[in-house]
Amino acid sequence: MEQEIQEITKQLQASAREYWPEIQRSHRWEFQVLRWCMDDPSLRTQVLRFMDCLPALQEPRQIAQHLQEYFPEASGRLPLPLRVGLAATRSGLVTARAAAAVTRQTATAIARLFLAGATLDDAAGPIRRLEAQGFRITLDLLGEATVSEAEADRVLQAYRDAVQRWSALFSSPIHLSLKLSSLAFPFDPVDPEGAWRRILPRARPLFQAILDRGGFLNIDMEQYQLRDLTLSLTQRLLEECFPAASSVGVVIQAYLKDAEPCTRRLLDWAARRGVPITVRLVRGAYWDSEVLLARQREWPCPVYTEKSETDASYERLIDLLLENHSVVRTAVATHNLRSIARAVAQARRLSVPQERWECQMLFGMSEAMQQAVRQAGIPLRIYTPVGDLIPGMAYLVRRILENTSQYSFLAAGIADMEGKPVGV
Amino acid sequence: MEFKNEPLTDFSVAANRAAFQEAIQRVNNSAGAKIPLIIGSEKIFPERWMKRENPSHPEQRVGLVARAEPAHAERALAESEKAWPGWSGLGAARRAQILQRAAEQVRRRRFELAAWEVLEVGKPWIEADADVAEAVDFLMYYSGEMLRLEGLGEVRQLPGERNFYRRQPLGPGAVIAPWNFPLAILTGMTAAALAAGNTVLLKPAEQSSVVAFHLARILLEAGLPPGVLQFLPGPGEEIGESLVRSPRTRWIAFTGSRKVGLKIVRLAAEVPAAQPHVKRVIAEMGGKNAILVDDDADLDEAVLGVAASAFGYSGQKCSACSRVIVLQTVMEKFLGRLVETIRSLPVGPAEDPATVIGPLVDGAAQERVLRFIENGKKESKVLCEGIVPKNLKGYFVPPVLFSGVRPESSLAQEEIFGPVLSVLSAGSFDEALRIANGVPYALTGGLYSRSPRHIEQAMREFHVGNLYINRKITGAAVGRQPFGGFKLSGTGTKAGGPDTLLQFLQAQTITENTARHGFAPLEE
Repeated sequence: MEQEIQEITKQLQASAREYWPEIQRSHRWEFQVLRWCMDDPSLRTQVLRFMDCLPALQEPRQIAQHLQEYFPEASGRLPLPLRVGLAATRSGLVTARAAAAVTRQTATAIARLFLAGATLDDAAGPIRRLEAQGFRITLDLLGEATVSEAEADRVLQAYRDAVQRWSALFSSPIHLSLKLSSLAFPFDPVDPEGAWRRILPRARPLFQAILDRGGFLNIDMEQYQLRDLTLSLTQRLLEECFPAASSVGVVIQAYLKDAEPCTRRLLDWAARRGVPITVRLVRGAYWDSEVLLARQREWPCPVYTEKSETDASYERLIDLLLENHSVVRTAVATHNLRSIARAVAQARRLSVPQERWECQMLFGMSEAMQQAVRQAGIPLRIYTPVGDLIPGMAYLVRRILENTSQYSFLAAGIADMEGKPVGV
Repeated sequence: MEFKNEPLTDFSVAANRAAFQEAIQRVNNSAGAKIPLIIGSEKIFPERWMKRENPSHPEQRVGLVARAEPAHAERALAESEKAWPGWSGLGAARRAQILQRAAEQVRRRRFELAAWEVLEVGKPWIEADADVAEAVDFLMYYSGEMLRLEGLGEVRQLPGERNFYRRQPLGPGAVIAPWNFPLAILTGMTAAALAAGNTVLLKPAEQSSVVAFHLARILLEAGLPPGVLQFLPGPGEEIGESLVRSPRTRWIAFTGSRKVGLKIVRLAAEVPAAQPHVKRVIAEMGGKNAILVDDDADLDEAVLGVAASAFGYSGQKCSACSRVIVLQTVMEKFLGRLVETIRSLPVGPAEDPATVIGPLVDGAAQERVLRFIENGKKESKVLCEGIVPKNLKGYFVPPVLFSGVRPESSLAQEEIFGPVLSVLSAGSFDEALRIANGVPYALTGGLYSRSPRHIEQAMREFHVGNLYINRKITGAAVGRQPFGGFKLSGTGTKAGGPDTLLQFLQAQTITENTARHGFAPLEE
């Protein structure tokens, strides 16, 4: 089978290469900024911190001041748009207002790479374009951290509005991805009963509204601390309120050392329940914070520290999930063409019906790969975040981190497209 | 051996939650027993006793605690003097062994000890667990530190003379401990003194003598010789004062209120005729701690950090945040979110894992804090007041947020030691720092900012013993954040740091002239 996997990987790569020049042209200087970050790790930290802070700055004067504080020396090494802004404020050639405008534009342009729009209506254009090309969509509403019950109520309202608005804007049924931690405060694993009491009255009507419209709800995964809580609350919600619902999904993170036993428990549960659910298989997006937290708390590190271990885990879990296609549908959520190729080969070998598996990728990331996968006739769903810059920043920083680390999808993508070898 | 902090319990693991629950159950069943004095190697059951009740459920008796008399203090001090030469002569390594054996026992009984804290002082699960872990840290850290300090200190050597610089213990002394970290602080002061080679008279707080008794027993069972550690519970103004006044006491380590701390400083300064030494006082006395919220702060983080710092263990921490100083431009947004967070904090009995805000430690504390709130209402506006569920009969006080508080008002100047937070507004960062520094205390302080310039300025000008940037201001970790304040927050020493043990030691210098008629051996 290894030969088949490599064969498929090559085909996907070749196909992606065809789309690359066009995509590169359309996002030329945004890529320039990201690539520049990759080349200079020390400044990358400063750029990320500055970006993280930027949406909170109200006044042009503040932006100009922060620019100077964050980049006191390195102006020559800065990407052009930031350099212009900085030089302008220093020389007094232009007002702080102008510098702020340039800076904000830069950040907004990068944000637009990964965010479909500030509101669902804003995002309607990009979403329609994707749907027209045959992509499926899962919607993610970005928000600030939920730090009170009142905010949880507002988040719920935002979701309900989105469910309704979706029906008005699009003909497809809604496919919503949400984080349970946004629906309750406190949401703490020390008190699962309390979390359940707070989650139930919000998740239940929301899911019902989605089901009424023929839609789908995916429960996203967050930090390891919340993993068991999230899964057990989801299972309880399905058992107690929606025993027959199958339009629902959960997430398994392959970078977790205990991902496999967790998946097996989930499969057993799904088999007992007798109604299929979807499992989205990801590598996991909280690697840095998991490593940090474990070190600070002197806890065993829950994630693999070698990328190759995570890759191997991912492939094992593809096999495990596809082998159980009678029990679960699989969403292979990855930007790694080799992983996708493995899923294709396994699905063929096991004769997995096409409606039992799909691929998923993130909005705005590796668009050439997205096109290649679509071209190969593999159903592909695009994880599409919608939201403002401030609440979007946490998501954005994660994406930029991924895109500018040496193992990044984008780095691999760029290297690959330019004909250099790609680390698998 | 490199020091590592004892890991906190991961309560996302179901087995840990079940074990903790079970420990509470077990402790519940054995609560109410008599807690004697320990003098020499003898348990003493005196005439007078103090009832200790569970602050979440005052009808439940947690223990019946012996009440030491002045005569007990003198007897114990005599035992302490007898035991001291042996203990100090044992050497740091042997002492460390015993302390580390005790640490192992605390680890083994981790949930049981935490459960006692839940019952006796109303500490919620996570905080109780952290307190026990910190006790382990102190035992491990100080015993390791003493190994480092025991050797000869570095002094210059010249031909013809030999210089020795040796650190020696002070002698018998008193540890007067608070109830708010019933195991950690008590263990910290005790372990520091013992590791250094002193003998200890342990006077726990009246509110946490049951927990303290368990620690004393663990230390004794780990192999402390008789008289090295003695246990003398009782009211501070009786047994505490006897210990402070006694001419046999060499040193006093105290953590508690400013009033009592200053009284100890005063009493200890008196040198009666029979006392051939000056007493050393190590005191940590509280704070009026502020967090600054800058106009570029990450509000997700700031709201949660301020709430945790102000209302964790109902604000009953010397490190707790009781003032939040907010830049005007972000005031509205920040307060809007903070108010809703406070309203969402579950108030309940400490044994319920859902509880974030438990009871205050006793009826007197409840009365005092409620009176503060009533007086506060006369001069400032209540922005929000949490709700205590009607069915709760313990010593509960709702979390309260005051706004429009003037920097010179008593709300903004006096330590309240309860779930009361005052909001002050600042027009500029400079003004915010001025307000923050404008109190007689200087223990902890915090800053939420993403401006490199403001962060640097705070590092220079925010005058506190422990400054925290972009995180909560409670929960200092042993060996990582040595803890202690300036001004009236204490005598200026740090707990859990590289200098701590020096407070419990005195250095001796010995110089020998090795030259004979101008001839000196060559240097080795």
